[in-house]
Amino acid sequence: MRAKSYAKIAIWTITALVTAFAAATHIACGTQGDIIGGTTAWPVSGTKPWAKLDLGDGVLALLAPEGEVYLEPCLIKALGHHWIYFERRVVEAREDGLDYATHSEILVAKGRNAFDYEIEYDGLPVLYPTQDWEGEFVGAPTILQREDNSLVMWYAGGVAAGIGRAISHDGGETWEKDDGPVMVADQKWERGFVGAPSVIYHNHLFRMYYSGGEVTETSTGQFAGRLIGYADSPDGIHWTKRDHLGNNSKDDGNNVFYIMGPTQFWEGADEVNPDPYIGGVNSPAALMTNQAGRNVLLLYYGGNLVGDPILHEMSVGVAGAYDYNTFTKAPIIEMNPVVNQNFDLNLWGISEYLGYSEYSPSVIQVTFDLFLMAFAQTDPLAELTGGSRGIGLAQNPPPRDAAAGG
Amino acid sequence: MRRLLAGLTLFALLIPAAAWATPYDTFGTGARSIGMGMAYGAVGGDASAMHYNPATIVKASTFQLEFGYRVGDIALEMNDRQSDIDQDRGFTLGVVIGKTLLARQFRIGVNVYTPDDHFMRFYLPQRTAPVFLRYTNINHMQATITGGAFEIVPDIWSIGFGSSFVSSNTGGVDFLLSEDEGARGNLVTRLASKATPVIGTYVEPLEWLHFGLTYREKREQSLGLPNRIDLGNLKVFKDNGIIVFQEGLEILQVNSSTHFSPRQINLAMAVEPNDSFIWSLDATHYKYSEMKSNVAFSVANLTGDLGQVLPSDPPLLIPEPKTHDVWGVATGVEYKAIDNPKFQLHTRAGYNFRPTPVAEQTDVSNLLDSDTHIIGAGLGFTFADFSEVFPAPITLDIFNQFHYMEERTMRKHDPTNDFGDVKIGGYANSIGATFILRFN
Repeated sequence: MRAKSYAKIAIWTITALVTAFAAATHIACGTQGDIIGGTTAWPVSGTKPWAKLDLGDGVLALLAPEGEVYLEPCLIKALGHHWIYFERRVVEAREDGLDYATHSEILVAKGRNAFDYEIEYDGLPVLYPTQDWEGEFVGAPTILQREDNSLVMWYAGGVAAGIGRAISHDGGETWEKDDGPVMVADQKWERGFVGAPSVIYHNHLFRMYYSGGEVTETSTGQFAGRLIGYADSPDGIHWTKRDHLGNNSKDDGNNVFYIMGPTQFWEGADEVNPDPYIGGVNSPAALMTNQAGRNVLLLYYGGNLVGDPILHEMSVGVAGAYDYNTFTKAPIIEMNPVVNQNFDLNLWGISEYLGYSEYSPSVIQVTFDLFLMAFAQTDPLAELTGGSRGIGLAQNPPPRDAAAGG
Repeated sequence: MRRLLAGLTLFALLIPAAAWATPYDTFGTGARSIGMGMAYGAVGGDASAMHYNPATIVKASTFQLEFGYRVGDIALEMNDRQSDIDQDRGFTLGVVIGKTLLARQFRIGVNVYTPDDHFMRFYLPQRTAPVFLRYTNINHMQATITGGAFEIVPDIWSIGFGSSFVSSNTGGVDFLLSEDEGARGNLVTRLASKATPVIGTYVEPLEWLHFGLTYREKREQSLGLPNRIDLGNLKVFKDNGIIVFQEGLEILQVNSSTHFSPRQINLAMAVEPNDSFIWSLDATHYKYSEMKSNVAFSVANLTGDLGQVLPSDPPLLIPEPKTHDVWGVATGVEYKAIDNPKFQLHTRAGYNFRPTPVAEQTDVSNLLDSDTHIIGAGLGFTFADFSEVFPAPITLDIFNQFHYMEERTMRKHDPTNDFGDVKIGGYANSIGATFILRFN
């Protein structure tokens, strides 16, 4: 009888120990994981998905007033802050009812953080046309911070006149320009136009991606190119244009090819009778990323149906390269364009879909798993209704509670 | 009365409940077998043997109950970040009953693993989502194996069989969308089940030498959701009767293979030179080449005017999983460190190598896996002094199981891949216990 009691005590003791063991390990060991199980830490490559950020009732990060267009943003983190340098283009309506640009200059907005910007210097430009070759237009800035904390800017000047360079030693308030452009159109494919540069510094060279080809002024006042070229330079002043076939402007004169042209339908490409001057890709933004120890160069760009005066249907696409000038575009199934948001307009009881226009992207990697894009945006009826024109932001990956805007 | 209760319990568990077997494949079952590196095909003797080799349950007592619990972290990494896969955590229940007939042992048994969080969670990843082959969503599958075994030649040769029950959830949405009547409809689902066999044989040609051979059929989990959406007439204005689009019907069939465990052949050997020591060695062939893509795909068919207006997207290509057959090996030892009439202490250790069956994921698919080393260690405490309650000894087995996945980088051909190159690696670490009550 006594042994039986001991046995019962032993069994209950062991059962209690097992239960306590289970409970303790349940509490002490590790984390629960996310609700799906392993989805919150997916790798982020900066390609897709993107979601436009609603910065309060859909207000853009920088909203252009009537009569102006904000475009060609350059989003950078420099000197401990986030900045958006951008082009302000003043437009006026002419007899055909559309807006055309009269002049442009470069402004800067300082970020309170990566998402919240305010225009600096009371809206006065930090760079404006002063040299003959610039005519009435400077814009499309791209900026790098140097080791001595000075800033160097490359910018487009004039109407397809070239690319200039300027340096700031006071954090971007004042800039010293070089005399004349550092790059002009001299290749056949450029047809007299170069602009919208994007410069990175990698492997001891400055590397520039720029727009070229026929220039078309859109109804938003943008000078849109059709093709994208590449050049590199040891000093940022003397540039050698190169293509993916091995040609370079030093040895091959004006026979260097563009590195990317319109080939996908959303870029306006003629898929039946391919012609690089039908449709367009332009305003490139280069970003060197690192994927599991390998460098991957991403090139964001605008693609559009150039020539459509009302519905540009401009969107942002992405291409990538494992070198500097051999790019593969993201496929059109589930990928390109990566920022192409539509809105639902209920017109006379019939649902119709019209697209916003997104163009002139600029992208930075904020953290290991967050990419931020600034882009120029208009709504499709901006010309008719005075709709919003300005600089918007998108992020990859989208916020957890946001729908993808791709 | 005890036997009747146990029999009814076993009968209830034989009803094919929703079950996936994956936790067994990845983590094993039973503290003793896990402590021995899951090299258990020629060892057995408890309810966990239903998974490793059902023929070996003839070595179990004629009535025993087993209760287990395990918990651990799955700390695998993608690009040097924790992948945040939820914990490996759940209960195990095992029952073996049997009888001696015609001088031969007959046993039936069941082994059930139940997560303590979700009973079952379907996971339909997007087409390119990173999925760890043997770990993602693994703790959200209930697994049941039930079957029996008997001796052909007493003490020398036995055969066993079992069934692994796999459930399948089918159904879909039946919906009416109408401007006039609003939307109404319902979601219809039903649970089906599918059994796959496990067959094993066990031979003791010599008292100290044991062999096992087990065949496990592949197990596939599929999810089919046929959705039917009736679209009413779409009018210019609600009451004017001018119809813009005639009514139509949308059929959206979503199909997915949500789980796969490969066909397996296990060759096992155990050497037991004396009553205190066992060494076991298993080799398992995993036929992963039969694996289908695990991603969902859908086929949409839209009729009526809307069907003529709305463009249909091109069908998505389902990425090939790119898997191949592999051989895995495992070895384990058990040593009886303390042996007296009232108490026994067994110490165990084991190693299990699982080469990856997954080729480098260079395209859009992201099925992630790498060569994995599994180390097990365990202790067994057997108490024999409860003879007035339990005629046979009771045992508490505990284990620690450590998975180490080798670092591996999947390089993409396309630099615009939405996840890019993926470097994986990491570990999973679990502890657990099994409590065995023997009544005969």
